[in-house]
Amino acid sequence: MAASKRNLDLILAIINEVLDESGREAVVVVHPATLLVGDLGLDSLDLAVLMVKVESKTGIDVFADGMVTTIGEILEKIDV
Amino acid sequence: MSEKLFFFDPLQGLRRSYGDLYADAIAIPTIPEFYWSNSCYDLMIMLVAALSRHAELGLWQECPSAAQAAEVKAIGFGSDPKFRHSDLARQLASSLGRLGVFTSGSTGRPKLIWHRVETLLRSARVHEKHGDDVWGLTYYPTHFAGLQVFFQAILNQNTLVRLHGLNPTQTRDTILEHGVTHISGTPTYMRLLCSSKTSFPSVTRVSVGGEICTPQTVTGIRKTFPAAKFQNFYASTEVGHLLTAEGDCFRIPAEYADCVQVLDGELAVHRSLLASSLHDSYDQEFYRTGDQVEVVQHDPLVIRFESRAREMINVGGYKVNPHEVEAILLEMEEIVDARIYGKSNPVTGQLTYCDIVQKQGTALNIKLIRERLSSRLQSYEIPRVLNLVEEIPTTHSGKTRRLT
Repeated sequence: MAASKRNLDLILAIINEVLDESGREAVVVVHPATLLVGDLGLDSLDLAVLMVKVESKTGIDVFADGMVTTIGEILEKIDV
Repeated sequence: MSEKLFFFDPLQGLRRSYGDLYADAIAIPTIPEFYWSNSCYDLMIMLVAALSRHAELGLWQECPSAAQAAEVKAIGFGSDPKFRHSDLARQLASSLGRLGVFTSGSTGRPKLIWHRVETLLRSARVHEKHGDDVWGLTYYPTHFAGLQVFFQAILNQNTLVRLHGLNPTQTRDTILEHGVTHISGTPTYMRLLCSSKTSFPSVTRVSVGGEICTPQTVTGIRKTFPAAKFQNFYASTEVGHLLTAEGDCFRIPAEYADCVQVLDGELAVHRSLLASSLHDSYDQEFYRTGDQVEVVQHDPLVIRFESRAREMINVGGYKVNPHEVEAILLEMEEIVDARIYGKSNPVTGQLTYCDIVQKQGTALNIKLIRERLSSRLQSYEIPRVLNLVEEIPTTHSGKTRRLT
């Protein structure tokens, strides 16, 4: 449980880095069900950067098996 | 009787019929040499107006500077606006006009390439059975692929629905609301659409091109568009639309058997297939595309693409010229040296990285670089990942060593 919370915080921090780099406002809360594109407004370039950042922090390529759409799907991949 | 819808743009709240298009096109008094507009519809009226008068029209990919506009001179012909609404398709198909499209040249400045209508129509299929097709326009009409969609739709008097520039929610709603049946986009565009977890049963045909389409992407497309026939195409601004495939292996059709070759692992096409302006200036028999291919079968020739044009970075189907971006970076006073390169990325095919040697006492970050470049470059051209380095390695001939 503690590990999941840590990972959720990590993903939130990375998403806020992505948003900040393009001059957008940070988000405060994300949930496993939060949609990367639909809810957070990320475009394909943002997703590409997100993937690079997650991989550099966790060593895991979360898009290796295809597109991920929610925060929860990222957590599943980095929890293993 | 309600008139057939020609164009719908949810961003502008614009709805125009074929009658409107006809009226708007003949109302244009003179055809400019070059044209650019923020409005998809204005661009398309200008295209129709120019071609129906056999004129030449250069299309900017983005708003040109005065200096750029003065640099290229094109010729306009006299006007003959006597075409009728019902003759629109025939008039366009028989037009002697040419359209100029800019490509990111592999060295230095973007090149202007003129296409005859004949080249632009090479892939168009006109038939009664296409009469009720509804096209989703994922490209801007000044993009070569956008022109292909424009012609396919207008020659069959289909409705075009603007999808370019819409956010994912708007895109999904627009496709569903208008019952889009045909959609053509880059693999990157399709991956984003597939991530919305929506199924689009109205779509019967999906085409992708501009980048290598991986088997994973094909799987995602088949899930998202369960009723669609899938087609992968190879086209470029220099050659136009050339090959189609159902998966990732392209069979060279019999009519191109003598015109398409593989030379040292690189796809080469006969000069007769090139855009008209290149055809006249190209002195070799075969034009090398720079695209690396694997020969799957020899006779008839079947190929699979391994990597697209050398040096150019392909971000979601859009070509980024590293030299151009480096030149702009080097204008920044904080930067001593810079190298731009693409790295493969599962979302956009490739993503642009930069290695930068900064001046002592400065503290560069990617946010600052993106802010500075945003007024000079398109969003997809701006590097997204920054590495601060001590030096940029060079080749023995002194050129920046390229990374891929």
